Amino acid sequence: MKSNTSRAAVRPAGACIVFAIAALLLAIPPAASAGTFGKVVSIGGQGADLALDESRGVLYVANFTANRIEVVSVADGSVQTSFNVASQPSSLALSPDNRYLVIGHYGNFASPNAPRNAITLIDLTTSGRQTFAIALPPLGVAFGVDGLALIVTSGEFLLFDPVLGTIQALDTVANVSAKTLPQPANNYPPQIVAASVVASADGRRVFGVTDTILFTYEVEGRRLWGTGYTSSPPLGPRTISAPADGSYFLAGWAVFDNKGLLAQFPDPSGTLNIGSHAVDAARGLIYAQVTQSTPGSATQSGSGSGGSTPAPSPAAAVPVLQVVDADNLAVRERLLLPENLAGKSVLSSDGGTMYAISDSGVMILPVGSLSQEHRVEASVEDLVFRGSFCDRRVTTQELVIGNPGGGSTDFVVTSLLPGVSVTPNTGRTPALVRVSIDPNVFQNQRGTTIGALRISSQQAVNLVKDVRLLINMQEPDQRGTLMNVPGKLVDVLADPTRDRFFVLRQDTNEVLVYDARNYNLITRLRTGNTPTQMTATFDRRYLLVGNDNSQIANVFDLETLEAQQPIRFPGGHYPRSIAASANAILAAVRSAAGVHKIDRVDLASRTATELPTLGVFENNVNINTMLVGSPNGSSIIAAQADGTLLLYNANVDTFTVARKDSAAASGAVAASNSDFYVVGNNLLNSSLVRVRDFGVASGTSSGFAFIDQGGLRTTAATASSPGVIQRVDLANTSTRATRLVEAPVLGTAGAVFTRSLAPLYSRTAIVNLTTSGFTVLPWSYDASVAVPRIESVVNAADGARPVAPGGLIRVAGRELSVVNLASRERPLPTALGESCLTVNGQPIPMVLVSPNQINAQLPFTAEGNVTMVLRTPGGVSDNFNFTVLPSAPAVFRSGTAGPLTDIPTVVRVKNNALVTLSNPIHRGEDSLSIYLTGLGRTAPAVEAGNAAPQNPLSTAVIEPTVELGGVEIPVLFAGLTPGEVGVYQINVSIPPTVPLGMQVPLVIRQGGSTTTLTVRVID
Amino acid sequence: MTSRTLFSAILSLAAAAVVPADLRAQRYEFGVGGGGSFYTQKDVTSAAGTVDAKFKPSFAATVHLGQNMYRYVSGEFRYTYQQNSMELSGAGQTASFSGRSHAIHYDLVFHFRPLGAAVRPFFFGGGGVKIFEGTGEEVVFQPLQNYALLTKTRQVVPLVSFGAGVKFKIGNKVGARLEVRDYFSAFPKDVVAEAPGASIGGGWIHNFVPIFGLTFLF
Repeated sequence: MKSNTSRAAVRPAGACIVFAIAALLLAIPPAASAGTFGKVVSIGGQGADLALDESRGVLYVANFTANRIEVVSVADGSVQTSFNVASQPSSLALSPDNRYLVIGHYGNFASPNAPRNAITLIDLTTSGRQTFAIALPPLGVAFGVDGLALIVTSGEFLLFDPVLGTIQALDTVANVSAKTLPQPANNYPPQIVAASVVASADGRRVFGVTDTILFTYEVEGRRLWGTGYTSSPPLGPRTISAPADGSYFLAGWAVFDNKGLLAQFPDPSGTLNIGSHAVDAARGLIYAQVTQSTPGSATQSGSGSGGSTPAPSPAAAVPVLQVVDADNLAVRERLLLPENLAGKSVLSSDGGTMYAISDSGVMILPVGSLSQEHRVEASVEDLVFRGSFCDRRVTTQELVIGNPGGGSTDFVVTSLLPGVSVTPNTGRTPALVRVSIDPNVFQNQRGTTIGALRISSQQAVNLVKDVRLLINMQEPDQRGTLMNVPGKLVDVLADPTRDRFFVLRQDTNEVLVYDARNYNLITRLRTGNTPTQMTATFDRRYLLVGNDNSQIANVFDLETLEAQQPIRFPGGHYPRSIAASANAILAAVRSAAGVHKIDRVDLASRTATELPTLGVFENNVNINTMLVGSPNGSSIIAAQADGTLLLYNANVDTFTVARKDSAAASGAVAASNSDFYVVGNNLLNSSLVRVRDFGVASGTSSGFAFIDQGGLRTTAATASSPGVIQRVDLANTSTRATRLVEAPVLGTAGAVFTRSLAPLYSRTAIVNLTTSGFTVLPWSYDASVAVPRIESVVNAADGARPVAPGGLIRVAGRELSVVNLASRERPLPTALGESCLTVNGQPIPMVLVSPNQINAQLPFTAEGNVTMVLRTPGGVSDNFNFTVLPSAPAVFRSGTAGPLTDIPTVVRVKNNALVTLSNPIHRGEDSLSIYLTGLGRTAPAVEAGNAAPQNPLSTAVIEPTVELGGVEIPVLFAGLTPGEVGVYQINVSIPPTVPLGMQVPLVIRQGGSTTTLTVRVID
Repeated sequence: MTSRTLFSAILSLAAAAVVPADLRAQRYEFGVGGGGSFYTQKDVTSAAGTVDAKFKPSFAATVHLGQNMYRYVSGEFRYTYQQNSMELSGAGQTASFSGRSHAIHYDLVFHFRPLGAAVRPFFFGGGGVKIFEGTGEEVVFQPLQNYALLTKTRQVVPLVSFGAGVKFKIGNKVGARLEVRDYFSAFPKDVVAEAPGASIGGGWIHNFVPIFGLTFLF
């Protein structure tokens, strides 16, 4: 038997169905809220069962230890009355006509005490009471629509007629052991009785669970199906619930229908006496407290983005009611309970109130009016901040802290990561919260740092999910466009014939379908619980999804994207990995029996069967096994975490190769059309013999995709480091590495294999699953990009060489940028279009980038001889040395008029139009604004990249003079233009003494610099 | 001409109405009239070619104060307002600019019939100034501005006025008058400015102004 992880499991005993449980370590949000949901009604004993009598407005609670039936008012939650009954009332049921209450008494006392097992019948209309002694301890009782009560004892199924008072044996029960009384202290009814029976609201079906059997009783046909099971951990909480129509039932931590296990709560603790659940079929919800074995830890059922989110604070002792989807148990909300639930629950007929046995007796939970409760939630799941070595601006994002019900609720937001500030960090909902990142804190980080915002509240009754902080810092050579997708993403697959791709989001149990043309989300497909891997059938018609906590594989029509009937796996088989060849669809299943298998899928019948052997090899695989089929359908490789590799050959329809050349395997798994395979860092031939070792220098293997005669390979050192994508040539040993903007997803202990690369069908792009979501690379992302070369630096105003601090400059050269891009951001970015320009090592703000030109602003601190360097994906330029003068006024030549261009930006204030020959200066009347750059430092100082202030105005430290026709004219203002970056203006008035002329020289002098232009002056 | 210059000219006209006492025995004439205003055009030449510069035909309004000094000779102070837009045209383009002018001058009038005759043909000649004004909206680009620039400014140029006409006696103190005159003036090269590298041919321009007016004798 191969190695396997110790897992919670339940399976049929003997020839019966076997069920198994995955050990999911589902993250539990922090328990930082102080409010609780629900009202506790103490009964002075231990509740064992309950029945809701809506016609009388009361709830009957069996007080197991006090030998009473407590009658609780549903109106105010008070114990209206109690009536004493025979010893140890352990179960009760109300007849459909609300006339009879039947009580089972678990009086299984051992010698020398006499057994007191009995049934009590109470006529609620007459208060008449009869007690019937029975031989075996009753485990549960429930009324069917026929008016008969099904009583389950440790040895038989009985039908009790309350009208006649007769008991009829329906069937026998084998292998059910009943605990005897007395029991040691710290044992509770769910542990002592260890059974639960419930009828669907329509009374047509009765479901039951004991330590060893699950059964369904069809009332109208009086048919009984029972099946033994074994379970590890126990199938707790020991309660059972069903929707009104009885189409399925929820026993302990698993959902069953008549064919098997549909879904289960991840990583259950199996504690019998903690927890409860109720099904609201009308709303498609289940309210459940199912405790986890390791609360607060991250899931290990799949690697993927989101898996590295800091774990919330442990919440082991915090009772939590989960609101989950009924079909796949996806968690919608978590509510704090004042104490643990401890047994059966019932829902009111309108679904508005849940009544549950709890530690103190019973708890009343107004689940239908959650909107009236104090709750807190964030408007986003993730906040993504993007920065770079060249972009050190403080970046801010906003989120809304709200109450889903619309009310006002207090909150506190705390960052778990240094360098993150939150304003305001306290308040009441709804509130707009600004989250700012100081990039200097993360300036040495390359890749995506993961943090969290923790939201707590004194009033809120819900556990607020952390907001994931993703802070990406990149160098210009880190490639790819990062698209944020919240949640735990564990698989990516390109549609084999369409321009779209699928991303498997495990935490919400869904497939995200994206349009590859624009990367918009097309739709979401619901899966089973904890989906782990996808595959497309060889005929390209269906998408199959395996699940780690469901014994089904979902089937979706690739044409319509609609769900089809799922594939049922043998009892106890959870299809963790699934792959298709031209001949067979195989699934590597986690088996509750402990020996994990490979099953073969019959798509036509939507069933799977365990392969008796894998060719000449035993069908016994590691729990961490990943199957991947070759695109041409010829083979399927099975990579196992213990290093064992198997190869299924579709031509001979059997496994033809099994090798174990290493002690462990992990990372990428891929199969080619040319009999090459990749597992982790190894390239394997058709016999699965290693022919090439890619090495570990670039990090841990994440993804591999065969393309034509080569392949793409992704690696990363850690989830927070930059990723690396290598183009691999299979014909030789060459690889070409390119850094990614962030790390591809990496394997975890529970899921060591990863698939993170999806080349699109259209060959337009390559999608990578990465830390923040997915990263898109152009198909020819590594096409030759030459090293940038700076050829000249001039001022951006008139193109002359003198430049000054704070002035706008124009950098000319080659390969300065791979894209044309301009920015309207304020402050200006210091990284634009993957280009990063530095002066004396300091990133400088840029206005636009293009292959041959960059416009930027010099820092105000730059002066004298400086060195400029440009970084692009093509590399780092040689140093370019130039001199920055204290002042270098230069009037912009950016004006245009009709066909005229390069007009100096001298503006007549009178008509706010450029001075031209047809719009001349009128002496004695006009005042002008001259827009220019290069006036140097200002007072007050303005940081480069920032817009100049309006108040106070920022004036030039070195005052300029202006002459027109040799006559000095009054300068009214000289400084930065408010609202602009690097743009100065000089305001002058024109005296009547200046000479007239068609081309009168306008001379601006500042320090030792002069600039001259000509203007027309008239009267 | 500045506004101060214009004001001085109007003062001069008013002063002329105040005749010495020994001349009051003679008869004075006050007249108003209106008519058309027609300019000849100029060629503007640059390296790119030649375009026409002109003042577009428009109306003229005039007022005068005359003094019959002799039986056949009289003298007149006259002010004439003309509103002629400026235009450059050629090379498939046209540029227009609103404009106007003020003519202020003194003419000697020689009659072929004596004072008091029912019909008095006459001819005249004189001189003064003409004030050209560009009044259009300045824009950063004018079509054909590589030839000339139609400019929002004022320019005073010398004026020669001559022409002929006929007066009709309608009553003892009222008469009618029909005349055609030529305001021959220097071309206003500040208002229609030569672009750098361009030149406007000829220094003077004819402005033909046919006027019909009424005169009042006193």
